Amino acid sequence: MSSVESFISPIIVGLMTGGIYGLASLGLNMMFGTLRIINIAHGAIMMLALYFNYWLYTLYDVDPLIGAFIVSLIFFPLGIVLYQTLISPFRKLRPVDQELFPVVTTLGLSLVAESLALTFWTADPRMVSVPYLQTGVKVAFLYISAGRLIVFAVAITGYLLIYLFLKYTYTGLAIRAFIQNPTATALMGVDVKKPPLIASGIGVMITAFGAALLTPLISIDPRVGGQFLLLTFVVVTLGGLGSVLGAAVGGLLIGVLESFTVHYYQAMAFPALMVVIFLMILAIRPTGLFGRFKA
Amino acid sequence: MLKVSNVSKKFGRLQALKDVSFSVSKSEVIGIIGPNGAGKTTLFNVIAGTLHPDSGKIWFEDKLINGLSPHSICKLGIARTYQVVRPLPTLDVLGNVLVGCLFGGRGDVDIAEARCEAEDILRFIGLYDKREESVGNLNINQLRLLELARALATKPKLLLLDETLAGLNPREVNGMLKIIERVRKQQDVTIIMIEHVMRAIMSISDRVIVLHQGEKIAEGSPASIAADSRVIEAYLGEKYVA
Amino acid sequence: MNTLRILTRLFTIVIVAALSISPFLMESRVVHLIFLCFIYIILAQSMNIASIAGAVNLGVHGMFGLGAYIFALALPYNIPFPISLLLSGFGSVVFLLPFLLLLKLRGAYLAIATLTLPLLISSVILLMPEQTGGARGLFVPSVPEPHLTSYYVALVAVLILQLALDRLFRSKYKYALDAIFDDVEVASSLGIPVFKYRCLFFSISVFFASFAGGILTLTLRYIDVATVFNTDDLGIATAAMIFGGVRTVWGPLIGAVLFTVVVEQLRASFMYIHTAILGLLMILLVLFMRGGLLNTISVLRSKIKHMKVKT
Repeated sequence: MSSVESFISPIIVGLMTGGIYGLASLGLNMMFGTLRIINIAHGAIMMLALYFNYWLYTLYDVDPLIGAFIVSLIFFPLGIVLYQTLISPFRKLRPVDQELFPVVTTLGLSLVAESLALTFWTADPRMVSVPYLQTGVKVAFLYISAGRLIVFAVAITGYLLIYLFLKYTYTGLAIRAFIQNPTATALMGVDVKKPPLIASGIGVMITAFGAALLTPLISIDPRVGGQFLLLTFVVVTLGGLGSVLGAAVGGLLIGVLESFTVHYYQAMAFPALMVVIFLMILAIRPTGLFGRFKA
Repeated sequence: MLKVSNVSKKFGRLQALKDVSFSVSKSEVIGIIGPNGAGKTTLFNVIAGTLHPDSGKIWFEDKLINGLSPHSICKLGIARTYQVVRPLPTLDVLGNVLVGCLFGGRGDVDIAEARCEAEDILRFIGLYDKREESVGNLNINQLRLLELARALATKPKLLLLDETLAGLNPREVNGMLKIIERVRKQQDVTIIMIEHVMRAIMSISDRVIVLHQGEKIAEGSPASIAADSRVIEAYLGEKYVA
Repeated sequence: MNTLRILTRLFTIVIVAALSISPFLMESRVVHLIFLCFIYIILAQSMNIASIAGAVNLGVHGMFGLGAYIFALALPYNIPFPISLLLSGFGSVVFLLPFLLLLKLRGAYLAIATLTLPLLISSVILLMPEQTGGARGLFVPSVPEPHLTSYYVALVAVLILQLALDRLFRSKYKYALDAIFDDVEVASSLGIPVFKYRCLFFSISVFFASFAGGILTLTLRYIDVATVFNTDDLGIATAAMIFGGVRTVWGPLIGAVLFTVVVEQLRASFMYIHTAILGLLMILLVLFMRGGLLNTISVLRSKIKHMKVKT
């Protein structure tokens, strides 16, 4: 029984973490779908969201789960500002430059964020341990930490909300239309300055939400930004650019993969493995599993 | 000289080219017409190597060329112009043509030699006095001429002209047609032209091929094409067929 | 030859001569600073070389680290250090050959892909502790007169780079590179083998970035992953290149000298602030002075020329 257990357990843990990864990657996916830009500051945003939630808990005793909602509300306008300052100025350039320059500005932003975090918060890793989240819950024959379960449930809810938003609200429809064809959308009477703005805000918001949910589960230090960047990019590329389902599937797959690597090999090998997967996907099937845009 | 055999190309669910076949002999001028979206530019892209066909073969001078990269096809002697002009903004007029002289065509050329060639081409085309202008200062006629000059710089045996007359007024159209005639005669270049300007195609082509929704629906002399009921139906709809 | 050319040549010769004898005239702190400038010039130029052909290389710090490790690993085998240095350059190119496939990607995706390379390389090094010392690091065997040798090797490397770039920009290949920069499809249809150019220039970029890593390691007794795989270096090289002017001969050099000096001053006082400033600078530069110093100057000059012609 225990060998099956030791096989199933990493899968479950992986799926749970993967669900959150998917959520965080969804933000990246949305930004890419509407803005066609690669946001290198994505990892830095996640890192900042983590710290925000950490400080909310440490200084003001806010439960991390509630904190996640607060953080996401704060990050929504930040996402809009990000778009306005670092991405929209390049709208008028030719497509090649339009894609490339935001890479530089977001790279700059990530450097600023990481170095300021290192300066003010030091490189010492921090952890949040919330008692009620540490307790184990027995599900079938496995012990899973309550934290993971609850966080996973919240993540799924977030996912559903986003899905419903995109599908059934006017703004969501406008965003989806914009992703498919900006010109046609403009002709339909939609103010085309709005969808990318809102998508950027929502994208950053979801990212921050996903990251904040991870607060009780992982150790926090400024360098996690880089690791998250790689992770979310792999998830998005694997799942496919522009696909909500892809982000979910990709997230789950990567979560399980991470779990297995840590369990059966060593944690240090995981970044290398992800780079290999990332490059392989780019080389072999740039659209990913469900994607609509080619790299 | 060029043989296109059962070429098909699909973009997702859109069948851009379906089983297209035709041949072009040396020194001919072939016109390609068809309603918008018929697949004409896609055909050019496939011949020039920018796109690879899903199926079918293309021979140029008895050599199989589908699947080759655009630069190899250029070296073999096929040059093209674009439906929407694409001048190289970093370079001036002479520079644009110079690139073609330096790297197109066959053999290695040094800058001095290439510069002479480029200037000769510009004189031939009539853009010599504008040679130091930046491309942003040219009007559409000059830009089209430049595009043609640049293609000629690669010493092509086959020239693919994609709507070279689009955007030109009647006087400019006549001017361009005269130059194309001179190119064909003096430089012995085989030409395939995509055009919407009917009188141009009809006056200059030896043969006309008609594409509609990716398929070749007619081929023949300009006169026979003009009278072909299928062609009329494709352009104007059924009830106009006399 | 006109007077300007002659003057510039004279000026350059004077500078080079001064640099050549400075190890014997100036205090070692200054010489070390100059040496660091050389290293960052090489890094910035290696990014520049890749960018010239449209092959963005955001992984130079990874190649730097790889070169450092190859050099440190080759020395104990009694391979004389000049060969080891060359090995560090060529070795990286060989190791990274399979990744040349990535050059088929569009600019932004290539940028991201190259950004992940340092992580891959450093992880592999960490995962092979018996061969590479892993997290413990590697001791570097000593070389006679390390600081003097590395100084001159770096100086020569910079000279070679600048001369080569200057020649390149005056050659017919500059036209091909401009065409590739403007419109890849058109360049291809004009007979330019774009992918081959990208591979070539990217390989040269890799070579020099790793070579720089090897040169630096000459002066060190000990290296480990944390010291030689540093995003800091990427920040400095990128900022230097952008500030000085991408796709120019002298831009990255000017930028590298400026930033090396500034960063060294800041590094003493604040631990990480300099990276934040570099990041901020990158953002501001790309927003307001996109071409960098030299490009903006040349654009202004041609605008002034245009105005003069009109009046």
